[in-house]
Amino acid sequence: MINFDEELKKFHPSLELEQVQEVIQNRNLDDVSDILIELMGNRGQTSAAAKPGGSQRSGRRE
Amino acid sequence: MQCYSCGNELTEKDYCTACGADVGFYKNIHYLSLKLYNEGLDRARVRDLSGAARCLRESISLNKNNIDARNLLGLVYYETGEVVAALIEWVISKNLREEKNLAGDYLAEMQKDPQRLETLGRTAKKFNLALRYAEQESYDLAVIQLKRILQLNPGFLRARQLLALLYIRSGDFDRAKHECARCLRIDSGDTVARRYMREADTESLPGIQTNRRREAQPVRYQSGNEMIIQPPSRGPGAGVWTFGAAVAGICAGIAVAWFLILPARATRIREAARGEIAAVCEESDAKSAQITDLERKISKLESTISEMEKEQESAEEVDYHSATALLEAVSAYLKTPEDLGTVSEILLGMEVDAPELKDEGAAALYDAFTDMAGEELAEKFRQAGLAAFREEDDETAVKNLLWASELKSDDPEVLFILGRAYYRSGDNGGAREAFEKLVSDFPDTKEASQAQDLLAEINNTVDQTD
Repeated sequence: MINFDEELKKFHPSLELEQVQEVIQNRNLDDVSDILIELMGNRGQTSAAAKPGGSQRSGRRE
Repeated sequence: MQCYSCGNELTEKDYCTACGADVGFYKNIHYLSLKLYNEGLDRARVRDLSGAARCLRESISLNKNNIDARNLLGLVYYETGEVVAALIEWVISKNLREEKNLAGDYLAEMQKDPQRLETLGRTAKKFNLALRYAEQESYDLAVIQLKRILQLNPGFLRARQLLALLYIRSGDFDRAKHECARCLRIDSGDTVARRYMREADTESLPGIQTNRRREAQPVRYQSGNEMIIQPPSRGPGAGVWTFGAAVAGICAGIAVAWFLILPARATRIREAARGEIAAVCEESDAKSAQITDLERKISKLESTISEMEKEQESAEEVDYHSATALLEAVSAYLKTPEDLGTVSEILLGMEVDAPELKDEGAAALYDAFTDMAGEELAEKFRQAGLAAFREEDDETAVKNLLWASELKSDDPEVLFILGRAYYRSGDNGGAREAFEKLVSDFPDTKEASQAQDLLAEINNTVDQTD
């Protein structure tokens, strides 16, 4: 037995053509890879700080 | 696959052989992204579009640079009628990789037919409007709007799902099932449509009455020995709806009167007015014709009056002239009775019918004068007329003989010679008149028999001329 009002709440407005640009500009495109790389970068910086001279090996190449 | 740290090509090792960076997790994430893409592709191939979309969204959330997954996600969106969402994915994809990207082809394809794109874009707006109607409990309007949307964009899955839901709400389970079936044809993995289908199936089974159906049933309960039957409640909004329906009915009635009855009545009035105008025009034409006829008659009468006035003036003039001549003749005769030549000359200046004088005094004078000198003058005219006839002066002969006949009417020879003078001068009418009078007044004379021969000759001449 479905509840009409509850079901209706599941429907959301559709995106309109005029919103395309705004949506693209505001979309956060970060993916899990980015988060991982960020995490790995932070860990590398931490270990470099703990080990003198270690910062020469770590770091992200642009 | 390249190292996230140094950009070197990665090997099967869990670390970068160039920079030594730990790439195990990184590689696993990318493999998982690819795996999800493959699963999404498999699902899309069997039209499990919602399942495919789920996998592809996860795939690009793991690796945003998985261009194939993003492009396929756009296609899946497009297939389910979500054109704007598809466009967004393709634009992002194109931005992430400009070259060798199918998204460019898809966007170019969309741009080829801007009208189609605009139509599909409008369906998104209409869907939002329909959703608002549904939220405001204007379910009929929502259904109408959704039907329009599906005419423009039949693959719009969410619009069809909402329509099915509205049908279920209104108890129209057959239509709801039909819409669910259409949803499942678009997306075989559409769990929403499956749920609605099951709901509609359950509700439409014979003998099963759910709360939705029982809503319309009256409430019965026992109070002591009496059975109380309470009519079904129509809900708080029923009164408003009834009032709204009544207002809509009145508006419809006014619209019908305005657009159907009033024009018909106006046409009738216009036709009646046209008929009256035609009748008045006919009457006016008849009157105009009558006026023209009367004007013509008036003109004719005026000309007749004018002619008569002229004739009268002429007659009066003749009468005056004759009376004057008579006075002169009488005066001349009284002065010198033996000079008949002068008297006869004066009389010859009068018209032949001068004796018919209108003035009584003149007529009495004429009678007295003819009694006194008529025979002498007649003889004078006779002699002059015969002499002129012999000299072939027919005009003079006619004038003198007319007077001779007037003053002494018992001489057949005068009439005979008069007729001949007329005949010889070509006046057949005068000749016939003189000969007929001769035959009539003196039938047994030799002049009468000769006159008859000449009459026959005149008649022959007239027949030949005709």
